[in-house]
Amino acid sequence: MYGLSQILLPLRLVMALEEEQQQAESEGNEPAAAPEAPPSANAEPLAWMKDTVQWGVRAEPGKHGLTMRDLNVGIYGEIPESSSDMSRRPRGAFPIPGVPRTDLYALSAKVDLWADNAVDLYEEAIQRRWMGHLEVDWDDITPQPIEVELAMRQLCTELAQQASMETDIIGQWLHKMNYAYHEVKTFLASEIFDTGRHYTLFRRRALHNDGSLGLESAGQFNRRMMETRPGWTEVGMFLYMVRGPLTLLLYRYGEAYARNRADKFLFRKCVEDKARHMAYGMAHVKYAVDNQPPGFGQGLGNLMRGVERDLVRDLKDPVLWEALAIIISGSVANMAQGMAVVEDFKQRYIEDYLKRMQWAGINKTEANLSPDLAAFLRREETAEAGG
Amino acid sequence: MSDPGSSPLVFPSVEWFQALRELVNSDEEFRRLGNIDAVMGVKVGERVFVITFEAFECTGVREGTEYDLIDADFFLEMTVEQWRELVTNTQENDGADLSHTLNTLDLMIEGGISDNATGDQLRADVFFRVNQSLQHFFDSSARLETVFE
Amino acid sequence: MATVDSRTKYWEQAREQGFDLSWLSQLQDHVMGDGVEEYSANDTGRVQGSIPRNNVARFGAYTFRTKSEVWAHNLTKLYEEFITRQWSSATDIPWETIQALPEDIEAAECQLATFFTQVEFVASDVPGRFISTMSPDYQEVRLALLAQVMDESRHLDVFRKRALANGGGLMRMTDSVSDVVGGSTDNAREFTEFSSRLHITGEGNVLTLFRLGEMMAYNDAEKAIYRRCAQDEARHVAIGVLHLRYMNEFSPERREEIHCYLDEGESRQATGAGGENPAGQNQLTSQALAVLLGGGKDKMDEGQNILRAIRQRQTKEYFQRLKSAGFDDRIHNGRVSPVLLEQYKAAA
Ligand SMILES: [Fe+2]
Ligand SMILES: [Fe+2]
Repeated sequence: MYGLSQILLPLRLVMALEEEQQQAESEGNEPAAAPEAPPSANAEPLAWMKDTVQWGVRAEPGKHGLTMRDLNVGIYGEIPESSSDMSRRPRGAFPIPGVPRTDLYALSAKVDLWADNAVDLYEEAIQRRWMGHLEVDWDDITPQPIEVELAMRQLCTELAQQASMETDIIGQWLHKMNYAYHEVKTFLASEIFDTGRHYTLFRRRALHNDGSLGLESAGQFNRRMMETRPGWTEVGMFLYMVRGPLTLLLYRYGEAYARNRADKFLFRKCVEDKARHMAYGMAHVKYAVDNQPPGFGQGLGNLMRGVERDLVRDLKDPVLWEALAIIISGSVANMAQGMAVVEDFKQRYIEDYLKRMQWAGINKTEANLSPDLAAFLRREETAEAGG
Repeated sequence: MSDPGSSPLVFPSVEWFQALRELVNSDEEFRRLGNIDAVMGVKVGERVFVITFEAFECTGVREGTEYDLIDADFFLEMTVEQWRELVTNTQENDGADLSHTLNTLDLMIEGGISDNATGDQLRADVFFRVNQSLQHFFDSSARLETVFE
Repeated sequence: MATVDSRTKYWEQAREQGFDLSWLSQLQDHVMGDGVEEYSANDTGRVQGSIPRNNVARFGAYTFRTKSEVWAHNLTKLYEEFITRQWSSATDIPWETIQALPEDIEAAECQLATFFTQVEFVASDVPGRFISTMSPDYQEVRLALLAQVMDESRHLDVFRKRALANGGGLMRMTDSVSDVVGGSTDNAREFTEFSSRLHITGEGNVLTLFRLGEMMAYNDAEKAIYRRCAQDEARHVAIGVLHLRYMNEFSPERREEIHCYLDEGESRQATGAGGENPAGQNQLTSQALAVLLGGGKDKMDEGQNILRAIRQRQTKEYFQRLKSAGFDDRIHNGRVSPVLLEQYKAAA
């Protein structure tokens, strides 16, 4: 048997090894090992060299580099309507008989998770990644009057929790998705990576300037998202079309009323991330509505009746709104003006929610909206966001 | 500011956007912000410009008409005076100040400044998805010597 | 700037106008404790250190509620490394350097890439399962895991790209479960069980192999893939080492249990059973590696020799990790797998 130094290695390998291995090379011998046998699937040595479903593929890098979409050629781009494969066979890999199942993927139908844009959004997430701990100019965030500081801490605590809940929600479903749809799984991996970033940065922002964290979120809608069981589509509708527009607007107002460029950058980059998440979510829900049996979209709409009551309960909680009103107006003394802008915010939020539901093909209108939510749309006085 | 020898560029004009295009395409920071795939309409009063971004660069600038906005992912619309204020503010502050960033203007100006012409929310959202790149694009105009028509 | 007196007056006036503001006073008085509680009663998903409220809907999502089950020191620093060392498989790999390779070499590259595409599925799914079952009070651990899920997703992506970039294709799938000895990473229900299997044994072996990627690479693109992946894997292995180190220090009563996990891991490593070590014996991938390392299918003997040296090195690095985590007593007290011990001596 051989020690490393006894092996006659090609020069490039020797160099590589020497570079890597700082320790002295071995003089000892490896114990007698079982003879190398061919894999159990085929008795012929090197039989695997012919085991491919499609050979001769040459995906070419384009302007975006070599993207995951570029790989979807020939059989490798055939997305199955459903997959009964529970063995984690990569899509297009050569199947072998008799492989035991490794997991029971609950989401194994395309209609349950797919969105055509996921593959591009995955690459976009990576290309547009950012490092808040380095790129935000934290020194630029100097103390504001104490009321604004406290309100900002409250807003950031809320946003950190929203991000953390999103981690939980996706985390509950991601591992249940079949790898026949790796485009979606990798995109969602990038999304939970984003949620980790958002959590970390908003927590840090709350603690900045000797700060501390505020009150936890009103949790009715959080629980709804966490406990919804029928499918990822339902959860996705909640996460991307009900919660999503709220988070996006909070980021957008955070940017608009920021008192320094660092905060503006922080919120603006979060806007980008959130809009990307929603792009997948909206596209998926629409895909499901278009491809599930008739009545599915109606069912989603019906589901919202009860869910909207949860939402209303959260929206009636004053903490987030009062904090926002103080941030907008700059003080408790002027918070009535700030609250007028907050009312405008709420109206935008509900309008946005309706718009996105309708985009996905769900019949959600002012007429079938919870009366409490509809009330946000019918404010007698509307304040301009500039307040 | 642009080269001292070169003559000022008129806003709005294809030449102005073309100069902006050249600036960002040679700007490593713009590249680093990530891919931007968008057709953006810019409506300055009655005039329409179409700016195309692909992968990591701005690939096209041209003057168009209202009809072109139908094909844009989103378009930014302000009055001549509002655009002028933005460009001036950008010059004075080496980038938009706190009240003139694109997102802020979209919230503060009645009716907003960004929209998709066909009501396609997914495409309208591209404005948010690449917002930092767009901000960087317009902020770069601080380096252009600009006059107004 | 408002004085305290005028502020009190404004707050009073605001309350008279109907604003609540009780939260503002709570926040002002709130002092965050330092450190993380040994037991987490968090059942609302609140952010660790935030102010709990009454009347918030409860849910029972978090089964991991004690620090000693999941914790590790220095994860925040590791997480920052995760953030700063992300890369793009689309643009950070010099794909243009890939040139046509002899058919047997290309086949071997593609077979290996197919294997990695598939096993990265495991490395992504299994940590992912733990994230949302862990109390958010232990967010540092969750962050490390979700960052690992991101890394593994990029890995499965980059190896799929490699398989489809140079005139080849995906090849034979791997049967990684028919021959599992003892517990599999997949089946782990307990965090330490999972971490010792995946981070220490499984990814430890893969890390050694990736670090030797220069030996299997035939162009700069492949070198870049292995180099980048090795960096990522080192972080994943670090999660496991830091966790075991913490367990050794703060949960010594669980040392025997952990040794049992390591017994099984070593058994798989010694026999190649379970197929999680691509360099393991009797593997489809070890044939592919032998082709790549030797320089062709007619030079596989040479490749197999190098592979033996790689296995020695895997063992050596595994032993170093045991030492780093405080579980190297097994090396000296006769518990360690004799096969690995021989390999270690050979590599020493
Ligand atoms: Fe990996
Ligand atoms: Fe890994």
